[in-house]
Amino acid sequence: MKVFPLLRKSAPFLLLGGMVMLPLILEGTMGKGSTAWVVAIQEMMLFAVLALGLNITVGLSGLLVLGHAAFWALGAYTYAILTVVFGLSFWLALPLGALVAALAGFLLGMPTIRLRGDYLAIVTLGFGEVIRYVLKNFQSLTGGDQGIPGIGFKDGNLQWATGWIREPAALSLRRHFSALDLSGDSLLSKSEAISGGLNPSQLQGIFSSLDTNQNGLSAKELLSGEWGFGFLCPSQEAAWLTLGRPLEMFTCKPFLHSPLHWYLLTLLFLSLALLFFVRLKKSRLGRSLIALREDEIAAKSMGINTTKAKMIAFALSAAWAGAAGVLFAARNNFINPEFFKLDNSVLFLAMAVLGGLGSARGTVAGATILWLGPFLLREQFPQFQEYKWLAIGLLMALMMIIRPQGIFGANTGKTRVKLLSLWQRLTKGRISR
Amino acid sequence: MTILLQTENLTKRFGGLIAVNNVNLVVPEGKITAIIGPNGAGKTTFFNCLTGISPATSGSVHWKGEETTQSVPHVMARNGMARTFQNIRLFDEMTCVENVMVGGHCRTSSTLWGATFLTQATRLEEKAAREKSHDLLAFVGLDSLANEPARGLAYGNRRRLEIARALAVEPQLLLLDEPAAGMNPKETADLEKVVVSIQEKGITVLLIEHHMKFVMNISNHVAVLDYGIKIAEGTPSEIQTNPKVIEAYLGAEAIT
Amino acid sequence: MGTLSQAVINGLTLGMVYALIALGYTMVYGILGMINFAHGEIYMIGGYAGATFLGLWGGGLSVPIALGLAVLFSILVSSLHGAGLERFAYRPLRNAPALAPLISAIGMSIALQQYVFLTQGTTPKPFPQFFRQDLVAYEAGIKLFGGTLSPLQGLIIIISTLLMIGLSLFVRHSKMGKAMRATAEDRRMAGLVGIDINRVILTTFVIGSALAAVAGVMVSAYISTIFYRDGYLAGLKAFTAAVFGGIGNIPGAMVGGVLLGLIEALGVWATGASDWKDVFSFGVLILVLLFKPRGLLGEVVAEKV
Ligand SMILES: Nc1ncnc2c1ncn2[C@@H]1O[C@H](COP(=O)(O)OP(=O)(O)OP(=O)(O)O)[C@@H](O)[C@H]1O
Ligand SMILES: [Mg+2]
Repeated sequence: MKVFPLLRKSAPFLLLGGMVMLPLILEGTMGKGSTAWVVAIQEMMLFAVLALGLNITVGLSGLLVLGHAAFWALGAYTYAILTVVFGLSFWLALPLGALVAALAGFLLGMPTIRLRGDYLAIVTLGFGEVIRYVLKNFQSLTGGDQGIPGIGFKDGNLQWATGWIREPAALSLRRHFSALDLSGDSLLSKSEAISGGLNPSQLQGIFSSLDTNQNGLSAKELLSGEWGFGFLCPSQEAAWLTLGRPLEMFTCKPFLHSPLHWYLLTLLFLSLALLFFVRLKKSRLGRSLIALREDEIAAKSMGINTTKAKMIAFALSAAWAGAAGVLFAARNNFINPEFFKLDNSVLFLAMAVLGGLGSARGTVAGATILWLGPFLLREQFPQFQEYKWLAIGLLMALMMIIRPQGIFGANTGKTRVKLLSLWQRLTKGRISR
Repeated sequence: MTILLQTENLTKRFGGLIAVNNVNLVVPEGKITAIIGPNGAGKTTFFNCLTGISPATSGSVHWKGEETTQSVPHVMARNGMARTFQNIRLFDEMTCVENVMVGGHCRTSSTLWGATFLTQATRLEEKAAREKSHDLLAFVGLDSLANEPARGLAYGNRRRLEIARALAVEPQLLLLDEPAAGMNPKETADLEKVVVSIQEKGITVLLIEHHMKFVMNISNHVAVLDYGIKIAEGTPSEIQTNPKVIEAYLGAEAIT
Repeated sequence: MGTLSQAVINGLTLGMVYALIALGYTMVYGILGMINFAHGEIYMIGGYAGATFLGLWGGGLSVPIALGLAVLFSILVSSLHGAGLERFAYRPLRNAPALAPLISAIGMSIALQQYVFLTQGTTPKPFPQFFRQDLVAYEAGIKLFGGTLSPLQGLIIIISTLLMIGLSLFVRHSKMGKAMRATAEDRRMAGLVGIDINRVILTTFVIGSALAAVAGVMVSAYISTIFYRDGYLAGLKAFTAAVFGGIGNIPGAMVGGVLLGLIEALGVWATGASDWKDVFSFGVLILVLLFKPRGLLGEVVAEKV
């Protein structure tokens, strides 16, 4: 019986390991077709973060927020505008986007947080619409309906970052091509490259995109040019070769735009969000939020400053959405107000509701079902797409009626007790009655 | 005798209805004071005025010499005033021990930062809070149910859990709104012991109760409300023989 | 942009419609204490039903009869939807925690919208044109202080007013109306004195849906199309109107609706920014909730502890 707790403790790590390997497995089994899956799973994980953030307000604190996509939009536009105009780095934008969204959450919360739950739902819905109108109509900054194209993933424009990245790049080059003069302009020929350990398919990746007159690359080009030291991982497959050296992987340029990069980055992001959510839920603050949800008057009487607790929940939820927005804008390369419609706010809510309000596992399950489900069905039954929203709407209502706690909701305790007693009956040999 | 809590001409109106009417009451430290009165007399409303849940329309509340008439509930809890509710208000989806830990909210201080990074201080505080909550559950006799959700508890246990939760606030004054309501004689007798040992811990108790035997057995002092007005006050034996009180209850079986 | 009086006339027309829809929100809120998020969809379905009826059968009839029958038909269709909503999506959740019926309502709102989308198509449905010319033309209208009240606008204002008067009388004097008020006051108590709560609630939904249906037909005639997304915005504004007037309060919904319509029209008239029209309503909503959260006519109700 000691296996159980051990398994329970290690399960998250096993799962994480599995998720890291998943693209490789997919590629092994479906070849080229796997890219679509990698992209879909990446999107699912991003939406799971959004649903998880929403679960802080709706699930833990019982505050129905219907404008979650607005916070998402604020993060996305913060990054898009700042990176396009000022070349702001992604890594700086991540906390900044979160901060902007959290501030917006704070400003919206201040007047409205004292309201009854259902009023809050409408006000946040209205807020979501207002934000979208502003994005649509504030053309000079947001590009209006056309949105902002060509956002990309910019992380090398800050001096400290480039220095930090170049150091290992030089090291890596020296490891591969000990003979190469790193400071000079001497060229790296094909044969040199091969003897340096690059395989032919990687070479193709490098050389096919170069000027055909040129026989090779100079070390300077390798280090600072458009290519960076991308030759180390010109394709997704080659990226795996560098998995042991994560820093290199995350900084070489072609990889930065590969689905795999976004997959791994989003996986990391989701893992952090999950860890945060689980810790929050078990903490003093989390308990005060749940108390607030269960009975506000009792919570107040136990010394909880409910206004403050609600504001914190609001801001935290918005912050995660804002960070997710930064990631989304960078991944998607293009944003416009259409992405941040009410539909998506409802979708996040449906994900949280389906899996179980207040449950971390449930949220991921909800996101999986509602994002990968339609993705799967789209391939099998193209006409399903039309029925997607109908199904989501009905599912939300049905879930509330049949199983309001969701798939993984609070009552799983009872299910576990049931399973345990079944297990005990089986092990005690009393299989039949 | 130190005065812990004092009201002066405390009045609460709901539109035309005067639920609490010019009530003057002194709650001495370390004693058990009871408030009795027929249904709708304004007892619960009086509690709500004290705790800031619905502040008084006029008059004043002084807590340890300071005016707190318009204070808010969470501040009053921090000041050392904890309560239970007539219509039990537990956090149903939480376990018993978690319910009590919420009661300890204002006596702990871990922050968002601590929770996110699971700092040493947070872990220690969490552990201490949990242990203390288990102790309190044991005190009211619920330790065996610590990890059960509050939702499934039997009625008497729910009342006791509420008391444990209120004690976690580390109050100087504990307000109990009909703690014995719906309890059988055995449970009521147990509850008497619990309330007396709360007093022995040095916590002042102010309680509302319809169960006269319970009130007369344990209270040091009894005040009677009728239609929001305090009609009598005194020791249990004085109250039992007070004609005004008997009239207010219209010879109800209660006074035996 | 037109004159001030034209803005007032247009605002009044729109406000009447908001008021009709707002009544559905407010009545349901008064009795169940929940926001029926799908109410906007009921209104939209009413519009579709009216347009469909006129398109199919309106051809041979005289204008008033066709219009009357279309309104009756849309009342029937909307009421059925409203009643179904109550029966299947809300009734099972009557004693559930507060979020459950809200989420169910949001789900139903999406589902209804999508079901109209799937059955009625992706493009706005034009409202049949055959009789509109004379009704909508401003030339045929009455001149008022430099603005013109078109016959259709006049009709909308008259019908809305009559319906509101009718509803007020019904709620005040009829047996069912009294039962509704009793249920709104204290549902459990009303049940104890022998009122059939389920019937009262169902009736509330039917009446609210019927009013929304009339609004739906009138608006789609007025703006000459109906689209599956129309219900959402109209619903949101009507809800704002209900909150404005004091949710749960029937005269409040009427006052709130008219005021909101006027504020919107005058806001656009004053600023010339018709793009921001919808933002005005949300601004109003937030301001009202900030400074007068119980609305203009709402009373303060403290939760009993
Ligand atoms: N929030 C409120 N709004 C309006 N009236 C209220 C409110 N709370 C209490 N009342 C009224 O105030 C009066 C006193 O009620 P209260 O609950 O204080 O009585 P009580 O003495 O606690 O009665 P019981 O013994 O039944 O608990 C009652 O008439 C009640 O209806
Ligand atoms: Mg009481």
